[in-house]
Amino acid sequence: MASKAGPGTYIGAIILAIIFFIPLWVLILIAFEPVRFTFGRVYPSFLPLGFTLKNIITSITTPGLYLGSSLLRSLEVAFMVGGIAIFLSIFAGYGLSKLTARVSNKIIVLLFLINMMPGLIISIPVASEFDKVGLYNNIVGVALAQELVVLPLSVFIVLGGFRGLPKDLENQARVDGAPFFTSFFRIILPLNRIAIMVAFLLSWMTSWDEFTYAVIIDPIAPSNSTFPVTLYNYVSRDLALDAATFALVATVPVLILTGFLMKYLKGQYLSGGMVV
Amino acid sequence: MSYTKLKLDNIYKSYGNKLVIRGLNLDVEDGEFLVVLGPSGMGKSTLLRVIVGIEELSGGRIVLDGKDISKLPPNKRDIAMVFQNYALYPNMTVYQNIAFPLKLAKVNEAGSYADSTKNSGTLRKLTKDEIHKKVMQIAETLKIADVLERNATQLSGGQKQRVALARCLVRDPKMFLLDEPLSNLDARVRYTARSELKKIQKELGYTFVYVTHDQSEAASLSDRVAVLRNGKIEQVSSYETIINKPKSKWLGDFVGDYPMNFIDGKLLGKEGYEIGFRNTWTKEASSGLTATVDFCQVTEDLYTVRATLSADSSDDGKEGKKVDVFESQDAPNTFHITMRVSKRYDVGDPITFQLLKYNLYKDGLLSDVVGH
Repeated sequence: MASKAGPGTYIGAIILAIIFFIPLWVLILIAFEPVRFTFGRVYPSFLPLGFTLKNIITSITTPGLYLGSSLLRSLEVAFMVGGIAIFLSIFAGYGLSKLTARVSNKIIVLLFLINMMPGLIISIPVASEFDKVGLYNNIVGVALAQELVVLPLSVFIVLGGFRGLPKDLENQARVDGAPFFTSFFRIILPLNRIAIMVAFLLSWMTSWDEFTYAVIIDPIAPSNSTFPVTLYNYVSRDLALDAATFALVATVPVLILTGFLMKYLKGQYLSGGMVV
Repeated sequence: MSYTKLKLDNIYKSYGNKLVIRGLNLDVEDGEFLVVLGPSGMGKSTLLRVIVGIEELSGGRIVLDGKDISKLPPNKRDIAMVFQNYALYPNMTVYQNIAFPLKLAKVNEAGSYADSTKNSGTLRKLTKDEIHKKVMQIAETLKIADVLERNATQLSGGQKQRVALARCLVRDPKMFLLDEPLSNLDARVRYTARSELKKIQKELGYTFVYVTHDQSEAASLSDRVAVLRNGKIEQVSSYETIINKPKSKWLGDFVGDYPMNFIDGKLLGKEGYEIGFRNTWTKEASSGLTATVDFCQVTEDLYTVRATLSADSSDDGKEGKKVDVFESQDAPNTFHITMRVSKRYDVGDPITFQLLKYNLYKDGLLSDVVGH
């Protein structure tokens, strides 16, 4: 049983919450305060001194700023990354779960090895190869490149889910007369849905935030790049105000997804032990 | 007329280098309740898994109703099985669990089950109404109609066992395999479940192969008992026969409330044999074998005595005794006898008794019975 939360727990939680909340708070201040209270000051206040929607409206309506298109592009890429990740993870995870742990663990380590190389080093050859097959400057190309980042973890989570399922459930389904695919889709997959969902959401959020592959494989044209790249573009062009607004907008889907994820993000799902 | 339903023909199963089942032969008659009894680790569960097809056979043949099913996948074998942990689908309600095999079943036009091992005319799936009728019927029989809408995870052990049984019985397969289905139940429920299981099996004329390590289950449920030892069948016969005439010393030791007692044949003039007798095959007498009482337990006027043969009645006991893991843990020449006695015995008292009947063993195998 979890021990009772004492006052120390709450103080710790509050301090942590403040640390995590400060960046978001600064973003909110920049986005909703008149500029004279934020960028207009040498020492901007941490307390809100005024309220305006002008910043947001300007950022959205100014021609040449591409909030909508880059958000859309990011959404497309993120869903594609999540989709490809779980599609591959389901089959890879199921296959690995049938091997002995000794073998499958080694394969998992190999998968993670790719992530130990800096993304920049891998992204350049990837970009040049993608260019040959028409995946350069293409959302499918970005999505595929981002799979390099998300796939190991995604396979690991889904594999953990499969490993945690009692083997006799599958056996029972076969004995009950189910051909392999019926038992897989009717029994095995539904039972592992939580691990699959967690893998999807983590892949989605990783892609939403991913910069290295996106900036190298997708061009820096602001009209036509994913959200983090566009944001970087604005910051580097000294459009910090617009960047702040954008960042705030970009936080919304993450907050929503985190809300979903909170329900499932208990240690046991990541460690692979699934409660059925 | 009963005929051979299932024939296991010299089957082998190995995991890597480890042979679990080694050349096992067994015939299961139609409509019989066969209990496979054996200590743990002797390949009981593996045997069922091989028969049902979730473990691949390493050698030999499995013949069901005259057809070789050794190479068929489990879903084509038409054998139902209840796993030890029941394996209820946790993502389904009880109703859905029971209906699951029905949704997959193929029937011929008349609505009776098709033989999945051959093509017999046009097949169709069961309709929703047919499935519903069958589920309700089996639920009534097994008294689980009131929990049909519950999730499979919300049931008590006894209910889970019934649901697993219902799911197994509902589709009318050729035979049933049960892997220690009662071992997870508490004693009270186990007794009821045991008698219900036997009743259902007899009423519907089903063929059951039931694996257990519990001898009281073997005694109360079985038509025949097959004792498994080291991946082979040691003896197949009625439980009484195995108790009274175990084919080997190992069996005598393994089966029964008390291990069979073994003493040197010289004591009764049977040179070269070992005498095996059960604790109940004795009576108090003025002459016969004499032993020293080590321990005495009284139940009404029956005394169960653990005794050691007196030194003067035996000069043997240690030499050439084969050590077997499953042999009695007691010291040599120590045995249990249960009998009506004329007086109360104390520890250290001499006790004289005769054997009403006994078996003679040579080289660990039964060679003759006396007094049966």
